[in-house]
Amino acid sequence: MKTDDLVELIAMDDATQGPLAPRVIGVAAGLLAVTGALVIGILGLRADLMAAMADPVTALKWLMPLALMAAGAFAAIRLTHPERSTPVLARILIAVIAIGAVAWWLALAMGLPDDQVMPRSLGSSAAVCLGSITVISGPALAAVLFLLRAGASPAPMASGALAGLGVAGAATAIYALHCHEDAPLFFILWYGLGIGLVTAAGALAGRRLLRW
Amino acid sequence: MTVKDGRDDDWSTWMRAAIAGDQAAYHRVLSAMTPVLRGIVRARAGAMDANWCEDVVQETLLAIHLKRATWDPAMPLRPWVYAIARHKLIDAFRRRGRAVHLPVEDFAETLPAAEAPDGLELRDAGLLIDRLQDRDAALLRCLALEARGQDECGQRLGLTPGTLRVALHRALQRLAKLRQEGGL
Repeated sequence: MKTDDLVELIAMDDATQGPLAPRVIGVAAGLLAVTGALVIGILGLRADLMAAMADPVTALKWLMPLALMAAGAFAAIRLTHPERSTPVLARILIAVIAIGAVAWWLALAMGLPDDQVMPRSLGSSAAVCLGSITVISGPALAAVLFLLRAGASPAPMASGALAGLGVAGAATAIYALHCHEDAPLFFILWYGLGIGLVTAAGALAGRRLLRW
Repeated sequence: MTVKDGRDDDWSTWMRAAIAGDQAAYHRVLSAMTPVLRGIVRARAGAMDANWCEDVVQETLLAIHLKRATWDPAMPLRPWVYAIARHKLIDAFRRRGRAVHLPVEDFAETLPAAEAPDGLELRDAGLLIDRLQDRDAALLRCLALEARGQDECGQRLGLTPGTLRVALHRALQRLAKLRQEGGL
């Protein structure tokens, strides 16, 4: 086909698209609310939720995932624009939380006798924790990646990872409404693994799905 | 510099009008972009031939069209166009098994190249179109290669004006996908 012919064809096509960001956020919020309500409906809210949220250390079970959610969602939406790159603010926030969490976990582990680190880290609900975070995340991540295909990411793998991080952050904060294990050794490890797992899934899927 | 800024204002203004539904403005901005894209691609093509370059230009035009909602109308259009062209160039090189480094800063400095290569239309007048589904192929051929109007093509293919517009959009989407996958 001649390029001039292609230009003629393209100029005839007046199908319009609305902005992507509100759709992505709306669909993600809706699906997270549904799957979150299902999982919390089955597992139940923790009895002392208000007191837990008021405790400055336990409150981090919500604050850290929610900060990651904000950074991931903001950056993933920015990266739908081909001429933009991952916002510096999001990069810093994600790095600070990730490094801070690892350092905190190591400091706590080193301050304990060796035979106590394992039992406190493993807790009694590790499998439920990991399973819940991935189950709550799954449908929202799939829908977000599908919608992001309308974007034009300069880095599809990073876009997928950031979308995964955003969804997983929200899912973890939802799961924390049930989770009654407040030992930082436990929640840093398992929340971190759950978020990491969903982020990795987003990166792998994004690399394929978000190419254009 | 002032000349370039002036042109960029034109591009952005035309594209804003195009997004608001002005088809003539859309045709104008696409036509203005084409030689600039051709110059950019040829300047970086290395050993690749003119047909390869023209394919990349067409893929870039399709991507500009299909991804135009990712342009922020508050920003100038050129950096966005360069980013798309760079992405499509890298993609085309990668399909040929070559990794390339293309700093986007240089894109604004490239001279336009107006003329399409000779013989391209002979090479593939309908080659790519043939790989589309029958209905898509018939529609694109009628509208572009035979240059008949939308009304006539719609009548011939049994499409109302509304369904023809939807069919055209879908056909262009599938064309872009085919090109990306097929690496033609």
